Amino acid sequence: MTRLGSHRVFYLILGLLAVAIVSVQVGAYYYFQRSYDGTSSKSSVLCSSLTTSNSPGTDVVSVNTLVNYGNGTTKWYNETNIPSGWNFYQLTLYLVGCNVQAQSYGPPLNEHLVTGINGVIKQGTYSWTLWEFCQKHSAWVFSPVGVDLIHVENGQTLAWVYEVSSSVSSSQPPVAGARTVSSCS
Amino acid sequence: MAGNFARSLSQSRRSHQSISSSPLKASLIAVFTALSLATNYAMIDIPNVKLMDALVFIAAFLFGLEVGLGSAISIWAVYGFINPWGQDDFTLLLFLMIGECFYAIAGALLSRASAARELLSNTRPYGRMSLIFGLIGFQATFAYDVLTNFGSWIFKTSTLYQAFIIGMITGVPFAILHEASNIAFFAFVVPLAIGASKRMGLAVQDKAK
Repeated sequence: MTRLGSHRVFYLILGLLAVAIVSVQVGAYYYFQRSYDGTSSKSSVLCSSLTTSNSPGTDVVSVNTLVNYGNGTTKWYNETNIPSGWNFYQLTLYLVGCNVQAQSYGPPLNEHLVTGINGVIKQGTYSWTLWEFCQKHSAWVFSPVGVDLIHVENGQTLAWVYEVSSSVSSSQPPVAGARTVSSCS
Repeated sequence: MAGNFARSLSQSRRSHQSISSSPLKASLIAVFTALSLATNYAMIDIPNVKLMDALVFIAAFLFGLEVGLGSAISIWAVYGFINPWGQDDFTLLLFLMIGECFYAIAGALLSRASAARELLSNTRPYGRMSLIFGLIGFQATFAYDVLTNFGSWIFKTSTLYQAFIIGMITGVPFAILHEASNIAFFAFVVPLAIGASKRMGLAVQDKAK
């Protein structure tokens, strides 16, 4: 028996393990690309389900939302009643009739980057920023988390502002002259 | 310098000084740690491409598991704290140290395998040695990447399974770079280094007891 033959099992195990690892890495890379390609979505199945179904019997919360278009135009959506499990992305889709453009990031992130609302699209340094009104300090606070992670609560006031968002400190509050705080805690 | 060091080791072996002597082992650990740190800092701008893993493997292959493990741990004890990219937290550092030990374990195990011994006894072993060392390096690097990616998510996710999956997916570009570069280092640098050490009389360890 040749030397190669005598260690055939050893070489075979090494080769098979390498093939298995390559397969795992290819799979992981496939999911990585799917997660980070930021598929652009304007309206989706989610959108139609949000605007058509308001199933009775579910807990409802009332929220106020401000959309500041950055050109002097602002619009308040006061005391909107929505199911309690919704996040701010779902609320935004609901308020503007799904006229939202977003980059969608699949599992494991499951997030959206909103790039346009009612036709006002992210351009250059201008983009949509997220704000929450902090009742404790009676001031606006720049959201530390993304739109999908803001789970709306009863009586909450939220805002979208189209502005230069190079840094949190340079961002303007949703209402001109309003107080801002860095944290609500 | 390196040649002188190797010759002195060779002579020390001929004069029946066992490689298991603690001062010699400590010196070897210090040399491999210094060599790894020097190459790490020299290659600091190339993320995840480092000779360190191959050096730990060589240390364990030539001088035994203790030298390999000692080098792996002491490298990270320094590199984890003094690093231009930032200091590692203790949890991640622990995972990095354990992961680095995989290379030492792989080196020590392979040095005991009859397949590797036969290759070393050949006059021109490099072709097949490259294949074996490349594959072993690839597998050890994969194990290292899986463990350290898992470690970097373990306290940021709600379940261990989530940490494993998110670590695998988010870390895959770095893992691919790490694995590809280590295949090259293990396939080309390691056989040459081991072949050279063999010619200089540094026999592959087997009796570090």
